[in-house]
Amino acid sequence: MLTRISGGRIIDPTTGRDEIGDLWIEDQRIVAAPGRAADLDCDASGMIVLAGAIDIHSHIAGANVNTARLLLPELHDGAMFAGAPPGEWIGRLFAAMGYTTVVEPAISPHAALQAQRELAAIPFIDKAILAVLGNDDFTLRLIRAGETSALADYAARTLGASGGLGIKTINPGGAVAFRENARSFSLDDEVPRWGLSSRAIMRALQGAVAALGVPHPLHLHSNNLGLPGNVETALATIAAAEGERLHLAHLQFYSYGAEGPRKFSSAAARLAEAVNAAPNISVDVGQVMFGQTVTISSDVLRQFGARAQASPRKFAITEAEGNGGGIVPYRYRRKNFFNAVQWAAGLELFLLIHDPWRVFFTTDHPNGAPFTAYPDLFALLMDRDLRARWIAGLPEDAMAMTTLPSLTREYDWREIAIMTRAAPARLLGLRDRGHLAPGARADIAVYRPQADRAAMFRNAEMVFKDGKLILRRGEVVRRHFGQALRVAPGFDRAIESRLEAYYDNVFGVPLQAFDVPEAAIARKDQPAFESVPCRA
Amino acid sequence: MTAEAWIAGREATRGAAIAAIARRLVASANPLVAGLATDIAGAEAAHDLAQRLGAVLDHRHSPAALADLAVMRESGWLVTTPMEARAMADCVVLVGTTPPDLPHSPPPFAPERARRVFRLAGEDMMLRLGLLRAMLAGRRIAADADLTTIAQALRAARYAVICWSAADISPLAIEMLCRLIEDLNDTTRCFGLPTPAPGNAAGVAQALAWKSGFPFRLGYARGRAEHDPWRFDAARMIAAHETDGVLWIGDEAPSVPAGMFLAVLAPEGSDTGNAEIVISTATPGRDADAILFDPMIGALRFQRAAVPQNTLSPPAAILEAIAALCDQTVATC
Repeated sequence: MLTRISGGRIIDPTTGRDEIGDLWIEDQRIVAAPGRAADLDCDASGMIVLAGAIDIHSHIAGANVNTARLLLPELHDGAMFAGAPPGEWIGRLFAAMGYTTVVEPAISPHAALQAQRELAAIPFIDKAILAVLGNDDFTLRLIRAGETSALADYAARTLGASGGLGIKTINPGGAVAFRENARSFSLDDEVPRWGLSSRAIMRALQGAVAALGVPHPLHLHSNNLGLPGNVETALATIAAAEGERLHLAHLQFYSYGAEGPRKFSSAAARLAEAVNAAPNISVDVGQVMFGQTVTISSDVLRQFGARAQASPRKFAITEAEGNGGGIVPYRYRRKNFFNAVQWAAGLELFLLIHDPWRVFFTTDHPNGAPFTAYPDLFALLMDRDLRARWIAGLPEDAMAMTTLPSLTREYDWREIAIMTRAAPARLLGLRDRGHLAPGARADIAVYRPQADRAAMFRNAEMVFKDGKLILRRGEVVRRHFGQALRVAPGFDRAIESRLEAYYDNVFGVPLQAFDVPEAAIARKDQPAFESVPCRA
Repeated sequence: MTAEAWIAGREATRGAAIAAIARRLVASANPLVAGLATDIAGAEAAHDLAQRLGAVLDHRHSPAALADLAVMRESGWLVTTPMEARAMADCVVLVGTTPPDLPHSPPPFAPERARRVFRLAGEDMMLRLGLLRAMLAGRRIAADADLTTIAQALRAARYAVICWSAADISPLAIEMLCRLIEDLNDTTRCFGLPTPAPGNAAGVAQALAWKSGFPFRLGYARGRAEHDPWRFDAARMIAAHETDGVLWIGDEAPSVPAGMFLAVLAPEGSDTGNAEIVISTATPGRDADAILFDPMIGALRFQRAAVPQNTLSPPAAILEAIAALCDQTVATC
């Protein structure tokens, strides 16, 4: 089957292509112009043709996300779903925006099976999980004993068993401190009874990920999320990476100073400067947008503390081996000083971090906002006049605590394509995604430019997945299921017998109880997993 | 070899029984898919069938599962997992007849601490829990020695776990426990550990939630998912003649009133009530690979069919076959 998308403006930052032209698809792949007629011609005259978008950090599956669904039945109304839509809608709404790959970034290896099964039920898109380490007892044992290579083996074994694409760590040591009755936990606080700091855990896991050649660097949810003055933690964390690759998740939530009459201010400008100066650091923003949502986090210490702000007033906190998690519904309000500062701080990061290859487009769905707010956020980044109108409707005293009103930068199409396509593919090691060169997987989004940019992004004119036209202007053309992406680095099997003994002694259950075999999630028509190569 | 399916008491082929069920369910004005004691694939398939039919979904053990859920979603809770409880708890309180699953040995994550295990039982549980909470709040009240000991132990514990079974105590008692646990977390650590309801109810609730946003007592009569613990109660609907066609999955099928259609998909030897059509199924996890909620790990677990006792189809495959016919039937109408 040969398909031609003809006459559109093709923007592909990976190859430097930006021109009016044709894009050819044969079966699942993009091909060079083949010199014969297409079986299917799709007219894209006047439209923008990009690779399918890749979301590196959205909470779309797993026990915590599902608990959020169960916690908020009264908010499942139409397609709103309070930030935790069912899988069917996740796939459809993401694909309608031109997204073809989404990463669920926080899965406890002990609950990986459920997450993978949930992801398998999401149509249209490819998906992946990041496996969480750093608060589990076994990791801490290995780090304390200085067993560097065993830690790498353990991380590799965990990635293989859970089907993960990378390793994440969440307030490393913080969940252990929480169960020992700590109420706060920072970068150099000692994990009770371990003699290890959060910094030491982070460094050890960074080393393990690098040693395994996993393309995605350690994905870090830092300490002190959401607290006034926490920019100091973020700056110290960037310095603590000592030049080694590190991804800082939802940086907006760490960009707060404690200035001004309400002891809360945006320190995003300072933080952006530090990111600009540290080429080893990548970040995603975790933008706040206004409205009802639900916060879903494995940072159990933070979520325990957030209960007081719950709206509606309820919560589900699970303390667990490893990380646990907390679900706290929340409504961001335009008239709320703090929420307005948060909104501005996120945009400041987008606009003040210069390199679109290192800043990623997220709302930390649904923590800053549901992913359904993406279209409005794209519009804000591309249009300073639109920003000015939003700013005019927000509390003046809040805007005074940020630099946002003075920022005039507007993202252009090329920068959008880098930030949401080319850069995430590179960050995750997805060599055949995020670009449009021959050989690339034919995941393609075609947008029709219009005055209302948000409307343009909400429903792409055409979306192709694996070479097939799946949606047109938000309507399903063809049902399709993607795959789960994972890495499978090799490791010394000696770690398995150690782990088996450990699981038997400590938990009284077999290690294999948590594995995700292909058979558990496979669909009839295709393999469940696609393996992404690690560096040799 | 015995038959795989029966229609009106006579042996039938599996295909004929599937076709007959599809016909009857499509002809039902208000179909009900209930029982739901099945694995994750079965729950997903049951959901998809109900969505196509505009049917209601309920689970045999939903009262207990929804009692726990009601407390969480009305005010919130702090819970732990069975593995963390085993590894960390230095004080365990078993409420009612909850079985004692945790060893008395010191918790491996805090081996210098002893583990104390208590049972809180007896008449008038609500009153006793109220007294316990009042004692923990520092009120000076008279209570029996058992209760006083438990209150002291909870206050002194570094990581206490309170276990209950919703089938065993009232919803109000669960609420009282959850608030008591929250109070204790002002100064120390204490978490709840609800015992999951049987029949893979916890797993089925999870699967329905990721498919629809809701747990059981879910209805598609209006074309979209709706959840109503009263309206979509299978036992109530059957008793009130609010359904005319019931597809029951798993053991303990009810007998339905005259004129109401009942089909049962269940392992051999199950109680099939007064079913008009019965299809014998594999037992998920025993005769066929399955994903089930494992109470020991507090999570879904893949269970390979070790020694299959038969070659019957699992419920999911039968449900998918019924759904495929429902589509055709609808399309040709």
